[in-house]
Amino acid sequence: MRTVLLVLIAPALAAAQPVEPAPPPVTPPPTTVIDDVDIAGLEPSPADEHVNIYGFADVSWRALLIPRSGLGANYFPKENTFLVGNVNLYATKKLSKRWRSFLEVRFLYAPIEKTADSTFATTTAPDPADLERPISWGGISIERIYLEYEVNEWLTVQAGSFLTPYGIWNVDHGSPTIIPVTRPYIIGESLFPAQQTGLHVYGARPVGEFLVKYDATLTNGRGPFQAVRDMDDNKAIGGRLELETPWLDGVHVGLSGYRGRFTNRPADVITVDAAGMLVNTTPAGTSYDEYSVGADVLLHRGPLHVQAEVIGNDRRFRSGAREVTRGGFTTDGWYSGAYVLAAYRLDRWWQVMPFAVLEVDRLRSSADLGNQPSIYQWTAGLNFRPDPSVVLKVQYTEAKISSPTVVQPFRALMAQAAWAF
Amino acid sequence: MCIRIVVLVTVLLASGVAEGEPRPLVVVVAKGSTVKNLTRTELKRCFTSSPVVIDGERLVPFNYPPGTAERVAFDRLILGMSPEEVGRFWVDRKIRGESAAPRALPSVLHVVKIVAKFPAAVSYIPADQVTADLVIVAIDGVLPGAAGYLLRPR
Repeated sequence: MRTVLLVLIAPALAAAQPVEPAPPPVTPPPTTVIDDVDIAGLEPSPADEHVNIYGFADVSWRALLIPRSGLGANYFPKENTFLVGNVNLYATKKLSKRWRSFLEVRFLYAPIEKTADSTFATTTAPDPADLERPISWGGISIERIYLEYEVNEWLTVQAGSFLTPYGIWNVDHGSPTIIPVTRPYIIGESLFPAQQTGLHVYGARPVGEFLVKYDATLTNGRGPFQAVRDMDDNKAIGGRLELETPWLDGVHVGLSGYRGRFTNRPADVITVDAAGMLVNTTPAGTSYDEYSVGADVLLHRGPLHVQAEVIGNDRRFRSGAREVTRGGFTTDGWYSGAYVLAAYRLDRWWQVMPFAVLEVDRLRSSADLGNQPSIYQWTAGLNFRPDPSVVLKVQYTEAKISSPTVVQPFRALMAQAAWAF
Repeated sequence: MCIRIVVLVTVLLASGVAEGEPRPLVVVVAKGSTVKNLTRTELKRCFTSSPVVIDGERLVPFNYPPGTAERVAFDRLILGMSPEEVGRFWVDRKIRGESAAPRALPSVLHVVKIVAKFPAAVSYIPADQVTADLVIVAIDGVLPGAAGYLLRPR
């Protein structure tokens, strides 16, 4: 018994006893030992020998706590549901000291959708490997694909399709890196385009203890298939300026802007002109000019994490190109929203991080929601990080849609396991 | 017999504690480098993969594998992060598509040799491992041994 007790308290005794000073470390004759160390191939900035493949995924459970007769049940799945959300795969390679290739794809179960006649469409095909039994198939979304060249320490150029550099959330698009289960509503509304295709230059320059980061973009802008075709010959421009300060261990302040034209139109048609000659004609379709602005602040001090964003978008349809929606024409106007997220990471219980998010949105007037509807939303939850690559989240969200025609509560309970691999 | 086992276990555990004691670290560059001083902010940026340029030369940091005594001490004292925070930091950066972590070398001897070879390289090693090919860099103007040196284990 005494033996067991001694074994148990031995570490404490060992720590409590003054440890005899260790003899000064014997420094090996450096020239002899170091000569045996092989550093061949350990260049400071080597190219990758292989493509790096990694990614992230998440699986969630979601329950909407609203009456089935509520209008919200018409917009969101009302049954409590398990769902596989993101399955994203990256393939990156540093081609040489200055060239880098980056690809991110997302595997989808889509197209699964509610059709115009309110039935559900799914995709199946006969499986030749299983006696032609039906097999469900899905698609692939190319999230990012670009080639990058580092001109110097302060300037890098990307060409391809990239996430729009605005605010905090759009770049933090991987579910393991974001704190709640869902993004704020205003981020999902894409007041800035989430992705763009074209050129992106960025860099950073220290100014004393501050670091000034910048981004500038020249792209096709928003469009129905912006990754492969600009429908209006009007290039969009955007930019971001971020100041990384030494205040409070590191406060980041950012400003973002975007200006572009959206166009969606039917394909060109060949017609006969007054002289009887065949001519190509381009239908007007739908088109609007827009600009977006955003401001954000991020404080990450030890276990405390606070971030906030304010985003606004102004949209003006061009003459003769206004969109027609249910109940009339789509309106011009200003759409804005803001959120603040506060979280605190504890060093126990799987590194749990309690968090809370508050959000206010002012939507554009619409036939469905009337004049100047608003959304007020709050979320509270827990984010666990039992391993750096594994994130477990649970949250409760309550929102109220308020407009002259609708006062609609919305409540949801969600849980998610997200992981990087 | 029982007493001998207890003594053996005690000695083993006590020696483990002694081995875990962090050794004082120093930041080093190659002999001949123009870098004589780095601020904590510059070190933090450098070892979190932001470019740091001194006298027209971009510093190339070399690190140790996660969990090694040198790495844990440096991350805590300069980056202000625990091993768990460091793990999260690099996973999150990878998912965002940002630049990769500095190259990790397997041992202090590798670091000593590679820093001595490349003029732009910067790393940290136990103070008793400094060779004639290396120069110790002050942090915020403070050299090892002086009060306020950031890499002194606490």
